Amino acid sequence: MTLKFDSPIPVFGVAEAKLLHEQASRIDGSDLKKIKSCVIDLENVKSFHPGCVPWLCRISTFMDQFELKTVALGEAKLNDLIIKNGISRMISFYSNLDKFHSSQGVYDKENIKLFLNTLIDSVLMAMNVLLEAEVKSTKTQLVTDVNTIPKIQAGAMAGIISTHFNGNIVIGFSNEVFLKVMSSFLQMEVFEISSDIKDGAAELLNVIIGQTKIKLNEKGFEMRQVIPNVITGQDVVVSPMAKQSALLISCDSSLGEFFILLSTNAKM
Amino acid sequence: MHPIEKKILVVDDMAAMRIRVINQLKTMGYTKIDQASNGKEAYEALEKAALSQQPYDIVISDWNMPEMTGIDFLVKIRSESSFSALPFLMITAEGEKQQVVRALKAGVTDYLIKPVNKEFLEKKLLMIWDKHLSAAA
Repeated sequence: MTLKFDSPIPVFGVAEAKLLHEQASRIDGSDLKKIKSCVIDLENVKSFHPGCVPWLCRISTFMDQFELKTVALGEAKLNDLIIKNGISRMISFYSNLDKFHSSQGVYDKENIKLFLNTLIDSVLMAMNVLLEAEVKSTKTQLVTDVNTIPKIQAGAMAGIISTHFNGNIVIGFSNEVFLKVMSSFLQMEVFEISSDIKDGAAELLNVIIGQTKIKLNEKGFEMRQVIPNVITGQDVVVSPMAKQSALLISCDSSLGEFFILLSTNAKM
Repeated sequence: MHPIEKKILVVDDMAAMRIRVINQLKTMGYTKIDQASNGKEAYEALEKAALSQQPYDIVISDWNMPEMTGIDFLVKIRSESSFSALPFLMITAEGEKQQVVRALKAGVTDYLIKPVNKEFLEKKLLMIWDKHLSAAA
């Protein structure tokens, strides 16, 4: 469901934007909790005054507190304005309402696919350079049963934020594989998961996400990463939250098997 | 001075990464290697080494670290005449253009994007020593 603001006039200046903001801020918060997005319809607008930008941002910030996505509809000029002012993460642009509606559902899937392919490429590349190990991704599956996620003894987890979706990535190893991985990473044989080596999993994840970020941000993902956390323990169960979609990427290498788990708020 | 006589300070908050870089440097023949886990500790190590007349020949530093980040550490040492010419190699997962530009503007000598293997690091160090020698000549 969307909340729609129309601008029937062809010139969108400070006064019009301010009026729209006032209109938005008068809406009862409890009504906003029932809807998914706020659509600002500026399809009829032919000219934009740069002064309208701060007011559009205020509308987006207001909607954000109710977890509503702000979408602006209009001509390419509007998109230019959004990009030029660096607010594309706050306000998504579509040329019309149909395009926006049809994008819902498909849009997330396409971006997830792109993200996933880039992530897998980064895993293979990072492991190859850091561990001198040939790695291949053997299976990618949607997690429908958390029991299919292998229990781990070592790993790392990091949050990701992007224009398209938020989520987190886990890399997980068995004790045996992690010791082999770290022996290769540190270029010395290790026999136990000590405090000195356990953050190695976080470093591996850091490099994988760093590579993914470089490639995706060239495509407008504006991806950011949260500092990773280390996971260690006996048979740790990693499970995504019930409302999240999760993909399990199983990998095999000359050092043994491991996995990457991607959980997001996007539709998969 | 033969390159392997150079004194190196490795700065990274991740212990595993420090061990990896130090082991790589050792296999290249370097023996005078110290470590620090953030920019603040590294700065103290630089000052101490300078006071004892045994200054470092290069800093190899990560970017994202607690207390003082690699970029803040770089800016700090470049503002001081005693460290303004000290070679500084940034090795980081931060590889976007604007970050590289930021590091270059701050005075980084060279910049490597993780993942980095031993051969690449060795080559980069030799390039820095060459550059440093020509600048000194």
